[in-house]
Amino acid sequence: MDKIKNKIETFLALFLLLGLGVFGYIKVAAYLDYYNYKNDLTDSLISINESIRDMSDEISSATLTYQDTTSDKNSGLSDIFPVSEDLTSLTRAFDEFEVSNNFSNSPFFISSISYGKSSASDDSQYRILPIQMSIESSEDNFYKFLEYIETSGNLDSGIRLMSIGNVSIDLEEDEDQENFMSYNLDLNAYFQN
Amino acid sequence: MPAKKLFPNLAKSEPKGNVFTSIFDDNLAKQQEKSDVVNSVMKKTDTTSVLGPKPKVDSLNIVEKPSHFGGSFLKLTVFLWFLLLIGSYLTMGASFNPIGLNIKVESDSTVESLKQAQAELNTNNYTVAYEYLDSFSFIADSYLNKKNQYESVYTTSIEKNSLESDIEDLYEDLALALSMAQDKLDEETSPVGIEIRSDGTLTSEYVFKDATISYIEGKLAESDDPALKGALALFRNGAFVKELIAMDTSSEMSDETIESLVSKLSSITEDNFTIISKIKSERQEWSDIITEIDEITKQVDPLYNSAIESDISYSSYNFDSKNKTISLDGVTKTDDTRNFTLIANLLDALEESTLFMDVTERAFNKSSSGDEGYEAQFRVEFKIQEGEDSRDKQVSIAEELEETEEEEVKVSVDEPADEPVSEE
Repeated sequence: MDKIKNKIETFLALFLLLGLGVFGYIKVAAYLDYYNYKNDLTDSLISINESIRDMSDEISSATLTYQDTTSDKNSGLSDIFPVSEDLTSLTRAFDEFEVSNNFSNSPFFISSISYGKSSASDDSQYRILPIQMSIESSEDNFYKFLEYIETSGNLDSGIRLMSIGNVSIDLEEDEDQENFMSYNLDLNAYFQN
Repeated sequence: MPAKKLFPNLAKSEPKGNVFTSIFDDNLAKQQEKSDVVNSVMKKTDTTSVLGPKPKVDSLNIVEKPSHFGGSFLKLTVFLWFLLLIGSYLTMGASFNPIGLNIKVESDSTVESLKQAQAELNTNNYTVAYEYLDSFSFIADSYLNKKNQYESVYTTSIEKNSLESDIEDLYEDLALALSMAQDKLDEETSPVGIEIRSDGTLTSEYVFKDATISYIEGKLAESDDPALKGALALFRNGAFVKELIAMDTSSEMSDETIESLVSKLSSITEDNFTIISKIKSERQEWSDIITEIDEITKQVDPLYNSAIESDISYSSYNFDSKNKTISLDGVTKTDDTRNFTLIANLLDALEESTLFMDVTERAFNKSSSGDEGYEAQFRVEFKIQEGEDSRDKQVSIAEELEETEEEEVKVSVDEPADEPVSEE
């Protein structure tokens, strides 16, 4: 009986030993795999930390440029997209355009400017100041003024951001003044909400 | 009686073994009894064997010990299993790392460090890229404004000469800024050759992107840095970043491309310039509309805007930006009575333009003005086109007229026609 038991135990032990070998092999392989994985991670970490250190000069240079640009942009922003209606600056700007473009052979004459009550935009992101203008000018100056409004809102030009809401042109030609146009413009000037 | 052997059989055969192996050999003992010589010798010395008869085991009362090899072996194997399982658990299975042997915990810890480091590197790259793009945007504003001035018909040649060099310098600066931003955006956002072993199905790219966004958000919680905001906006807009990287700065960029880039950059960063850009994009450029109307009118009436009095003349334009509608008041003057045809041609030409749609004129009135011919007032109303209009695809008036002329020639060659097909 003991011999049989001994044999069974031996057989079972051998079987377990075989399993131990297989399981051990798998576990050791997995461990080595993780070991290599960890080494790769460590190498990568070292490399990234080196890259971060190498960037310090570039970050400083880019930040300085950015600060200069931001400063210029903010000062320009107050001209093109002010925080308030700033009617006086706008009126002066129209007058300035008139003075520099009003000539006897090509007139530009603003007969009236009427500022409406400002209101918030539909999305409340900005405010709109409606302006009604009556102008008499040559055809050239008409297009020039349209261009002035249509290209407004650039930091470089510093012209207040505006758009044309409505144009009503009377093209009846005056025999004395050929190409002379009189028109009413509904403009919108914008400012921050 | 058998003869007695002269030489007795002293030894029948060589005894096997030695004295130690054969001390209990019974057969040998019997043989020895049969050997006369040995017997005689033995008689003289000792009549008994050296050790006597082999003792019987049973009579010694010795109990045979059972073998425990199997059990011991099994215990050893189980013990080894136990050791292996404990070792396996401590090195790879456990969630703690008491003696620094748990390779999995060590790996996970390194992954966290790596994610943090990569997030910092990504943040640096994208922040620098955003700062260069901000610079690009600022230079582009000046560049586009100067370009507009240069292309304006109202700019003098002296001013143009001055603008030309400025435009060249500005273009170089903005191309450089864009190229530097591209370099930073083109950097890998996850470590090369590393595939993170995560429990889920997340890719390494996603894991590092998520880590970077969390890192920037954490930084923004500490300080409201606009450059960091810009970096985060860029990081979240992969499509825009890809578009930026794909741009070829070595070749000439068109103004539209630069404008589009500035507008897109502004839209993702959401500041005051985003609002300005939005207003600009929605702004109707009426000078283009008026130019288009002039061109279309010239197409219908070649004398329009020329020194010679034209058949079509306008008395007023009305443009409404809010409703995107246009109304034109005018008059047609002809020597014959084809005023309505002229108005109809104008309506068709306006409809075929890609800028206009829904051109309507339902009432036609004509009057005779004696020797001066015939006069018809009109008021055309239409809308500014948004999207596609199937009517744009129709043949233009000019092409239609050309085709009609060709047909007329063919008809006159093949068979004489009674009446001309063309209105001209």
